[in-house]
Amino acid sequence: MFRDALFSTLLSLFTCYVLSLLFLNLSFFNPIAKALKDFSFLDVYYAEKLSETKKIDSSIVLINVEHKDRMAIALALEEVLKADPKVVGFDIILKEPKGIKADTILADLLNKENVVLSHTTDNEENIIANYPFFAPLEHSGYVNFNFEEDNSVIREFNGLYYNKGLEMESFGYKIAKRYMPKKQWEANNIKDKLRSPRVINYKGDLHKFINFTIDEFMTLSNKSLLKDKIVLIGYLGTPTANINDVEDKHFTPLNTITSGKSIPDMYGVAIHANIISMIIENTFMYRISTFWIVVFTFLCSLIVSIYFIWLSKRLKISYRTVRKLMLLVFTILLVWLTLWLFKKGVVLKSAPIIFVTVFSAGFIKFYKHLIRYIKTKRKFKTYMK
Amino acid sequence: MERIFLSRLIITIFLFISSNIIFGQHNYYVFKKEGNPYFKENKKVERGEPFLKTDILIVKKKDTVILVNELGEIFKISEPMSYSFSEIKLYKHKLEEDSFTRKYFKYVWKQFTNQNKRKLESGVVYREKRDIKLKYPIDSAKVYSPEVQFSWNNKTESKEVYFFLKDLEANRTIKLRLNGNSIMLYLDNYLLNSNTEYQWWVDTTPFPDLTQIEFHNLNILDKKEYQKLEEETAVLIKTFKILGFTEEEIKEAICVDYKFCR
Repeated sequence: MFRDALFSTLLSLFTCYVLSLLFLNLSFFNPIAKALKDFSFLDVYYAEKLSETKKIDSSIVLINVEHKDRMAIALALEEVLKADPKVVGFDIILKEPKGIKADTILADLLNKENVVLSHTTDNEENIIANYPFFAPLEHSGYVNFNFEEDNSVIREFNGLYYNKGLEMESFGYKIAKRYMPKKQWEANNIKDKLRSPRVINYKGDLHKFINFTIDEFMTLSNKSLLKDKIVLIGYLGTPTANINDVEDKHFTPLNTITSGKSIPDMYGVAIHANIISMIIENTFMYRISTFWIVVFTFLCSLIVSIYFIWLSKRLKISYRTVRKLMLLVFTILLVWLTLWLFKKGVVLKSAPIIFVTVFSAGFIKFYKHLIRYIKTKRKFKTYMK
Repeated sequence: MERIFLSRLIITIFLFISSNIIFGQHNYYVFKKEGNPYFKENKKVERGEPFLKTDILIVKKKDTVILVNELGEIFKISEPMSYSFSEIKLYKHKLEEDSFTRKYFKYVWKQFTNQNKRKLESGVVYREKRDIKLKYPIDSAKVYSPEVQFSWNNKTESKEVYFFLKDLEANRTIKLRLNGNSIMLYLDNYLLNSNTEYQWWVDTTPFPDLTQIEFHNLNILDKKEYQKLEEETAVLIKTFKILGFTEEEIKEAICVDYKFCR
């Protein structure tokens, strides 16, 4: 029985591999392949709030610039700096000069040691940064989340990126590095952890952080809240959290619609806040490698094949019903396990395991016919009739 | 002698530092607020303001204050009463009791039984009136009280508003620049007088077009007029009481229907 199960599994894995190549390369399947690429079972974890924490991150404060002019932003930044925060992240790119007075004040403030600016890299690896008058490029970190093409849901981010041989630091990386004591930074081995793309451990949307509009912040009589904190200045909608405002808004796993059409759900600055929060609290997710996913897939397929070959001999009439029921239970339990592991900080991509295992279970019938055919040609030792 | 002094000094410094570390966790800041809660001495509760050790937080009906401490823990206060700094820790927001597994199987069940939320789409654009709506005192209210709280809803972009109160007998208007959605005035025989009729309105500009403004009339009663109205409504109050209405409900109904607000 084991021999049959092993042959059946190997054959099904090979067929699956060939079919997946066809599936990914035929343009006819492109929309389906794209939709599947944007889907992950893990999104259910956030979308259904399976493990919502009641805590908020009090070390990061967000300030929404709405559509205020440069002078208003400059005055707000001045007030922020007066409140003595540890680091200020400026998630706005001032591409060209606009007015001498406001620009001069901004340039003076943006050059302060505890201010981190932002720049972005386009598809041709060109850097789009602030006008050089404001601050040199070394003061800024890139605000791209990841450099993976064709993936519109922000699940991972690159902390470090190598552009034309140069090591570039991301906005979140730079801010966290300035915020954390050097000893803690080194003890947590942050740089090594961020050499490869990391899954973002989301805390929540902007409501999980203290946030103000510029007007709200300016009217605060006591701004001591900002002392020794990280302050991120960026765009959070007009008015704040406006669901119909999609400027600098992105798809994240927190979107309540996990597949199909929806509107972006999280502002860029809130995503940066989540990234920074994960780095400073050292709550990185551990991703199970592709090698282990292949091993699990093979084992699951083999076990399922052994079980169904055995079951097909025992049950004659109800076999198909029981098989479907068992596969359903298997899928539900595996998704539960995946989500439970995710809660514990382990990322296991279960979609290929489920897909291949279910495929292998269905492949037994084909294997049976194949054996019958082989037996007409030559002798073949088998458990199956 | 010097040694003893030095050791005591070290102990004092140590205790001071450690107590700062321990108690430093209990700084509270206002994370969110609903309604018009305030600190004693009429200091308004604003998002981001610290809750100092000397502060007393006053929460009225329909008010909610959510505080956060340095650890990111949330404290929700909504019961109408006064709160001192030391009492806040009793109101820590508890975690939801629903377990992870239960939530997951609830989700699976919802998927199987197709209990997804209905999504009704309508092709329309909303244009609500983005203006200031006067709330209290309601139009043509007759009020008998040592103080009057004026409140309004500001749906405009402007945070700063101008409150106007016109004394109809003296033909004198006072104008106050404000940041919030309410103001309390006392019967001080200067801003407010008893037995006087007023008009009040709120605008985003200091010099509004007086032909376009929407105002509320207000009559501040003296004791004699108040007693007269009390007698007139006594039967009505008694009937309401027999029907089982509470004092508050009766007060509200008489204020809305008979414009007599106590």
